[in-house]
Amino acid sequence: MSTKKITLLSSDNELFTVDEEAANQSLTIKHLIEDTEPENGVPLPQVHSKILAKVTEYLIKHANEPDNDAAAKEELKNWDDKFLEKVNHETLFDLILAANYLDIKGLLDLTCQTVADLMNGMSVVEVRKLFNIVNDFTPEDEAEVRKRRKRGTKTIGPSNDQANQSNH
Amino acid sequence: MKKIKQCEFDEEVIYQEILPRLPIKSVFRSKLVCKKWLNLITNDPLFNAHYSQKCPNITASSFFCNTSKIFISSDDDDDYHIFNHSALLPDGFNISGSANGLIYGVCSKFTQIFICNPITKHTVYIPNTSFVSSFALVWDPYNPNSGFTIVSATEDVYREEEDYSAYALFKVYSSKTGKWQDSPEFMVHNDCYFKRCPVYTGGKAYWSLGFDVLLFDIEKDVADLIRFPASDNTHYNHHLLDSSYTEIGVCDGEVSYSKLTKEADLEIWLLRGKNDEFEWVKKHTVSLQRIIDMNCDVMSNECENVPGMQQKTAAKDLVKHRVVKPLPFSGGEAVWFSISDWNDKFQRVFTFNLRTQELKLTCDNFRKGLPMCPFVPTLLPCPT
Repeated sequence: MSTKKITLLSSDNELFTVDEEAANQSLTIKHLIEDTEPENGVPLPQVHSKILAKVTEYLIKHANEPDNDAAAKEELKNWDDKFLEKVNHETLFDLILAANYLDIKGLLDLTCQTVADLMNGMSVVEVRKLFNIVNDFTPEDEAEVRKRRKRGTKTIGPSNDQANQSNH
Repeated sequence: MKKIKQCEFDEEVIYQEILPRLPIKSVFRSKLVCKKWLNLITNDPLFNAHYSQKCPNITASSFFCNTSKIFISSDDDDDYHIFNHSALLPDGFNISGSANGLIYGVCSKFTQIFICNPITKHTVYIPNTSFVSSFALVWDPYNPNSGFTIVSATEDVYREEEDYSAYALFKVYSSKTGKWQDSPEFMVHNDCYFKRCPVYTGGKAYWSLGFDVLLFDIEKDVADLIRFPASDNTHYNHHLLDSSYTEIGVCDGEVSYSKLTKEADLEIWLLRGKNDEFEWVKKHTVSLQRIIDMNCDVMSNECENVPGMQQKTAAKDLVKHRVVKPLPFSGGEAVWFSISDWNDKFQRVFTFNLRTQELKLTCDNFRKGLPMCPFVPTLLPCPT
């Protein structure tokens, strides 16, 4: 059985070759192939080679996802964890952008969940910094929201922090 | 350069993909990040819909409330949270149902109805409702400013010597007018047993009676009875008994019917309707015996006090002794049921994942005999 190879062209003109099955996880690439049948590689002008290298690594690994094999699933999950372990925030955001643009659900889920996990342990100030958001509250506004929030959360069971601690 | 790019990318992906994955507590904290986020979290129906779908601690239908407690099960640590009612509601309240993240019921000896969002801690009251017994709340989370509607069914009986019939009457309350309106419609039925949690979907409120589901179309002002699906192996002697083996719920806009058969099968049916023609379609059948056999360890650990649980448990016996009860089905991968024991006042709620075949104890101290309804949280405040 021969597998069709797909060539992807990054914004800085680097070529990446993957099996069609792997490439088809990206709905954007899949549609590009179907619609335009590009001969010299699928042009992806929004994705830099540095990021596309990571994306193709993910696509190749996830090309044959196991359905019912618990051990294989576990292995894949561990691989996913490792995959993003040493990635800095900037690359992580670029990966989210790429996953969103290329429409790769699995990668989008994985990267967004990683950011959500990061945020979970952050203070409001740190969250603003992470997303480059300017605080547009006046001190009075902030005090008012804080007041309402305090009243609001008072009666919700054990806090997340406690729950997390008891987990370890 | 990099910074500008990040800001541009943020909006949609942050709102749709990242924020909805945060646990409730973190989402609340995030209100303080900026005005846009505050508005998004507290007022935006679309964000709220994403949140209900993606929130890590919450899978659809993972909440159950009954009259004493609301439980939120959380996926990651098998833990659950309990809301403290006393801070939210006055004494003597009874939860009678939930709709799109709001719980509602009556308090102070039926003199007022409350509608409460336990997540945001908003409560509104409707006074002078002593005539209301069983009602459904109608509100559209995508259109939170449109107010809400309450559909109430009361039953009455006509009795003359041997002749006896029960009928239901309907009243509709609109928050826009602040008034109750009597519907001219009534429906004669053979049951005088209203289960306490009616459900609402697609313009109609549904009440589970013994053999039938009673529905009331608010727009058309029309009521109808639809017979529940009868499979070959049901038929308990008494329909009151039978109805304790069934529950109705809402699954993706359709009415679901969960039923525990005498053969210890959990059946899930959906009511499909077109042009007022309805039919029941069977969605799942799960053998309780198989669940027990596959999860002996969980069952024997968690159900020490249940008679017959210590040794090999026959699912049919559990059904016969009315130890197992189905719970409403709200879609997703899990079916819910509860197991109670004779001496204990409490029942345990289990979820069985249809895909992974995994059984999980969700919470273990629901008061027995009180109605339970699924609850998916919302961040939107109560409608007024």
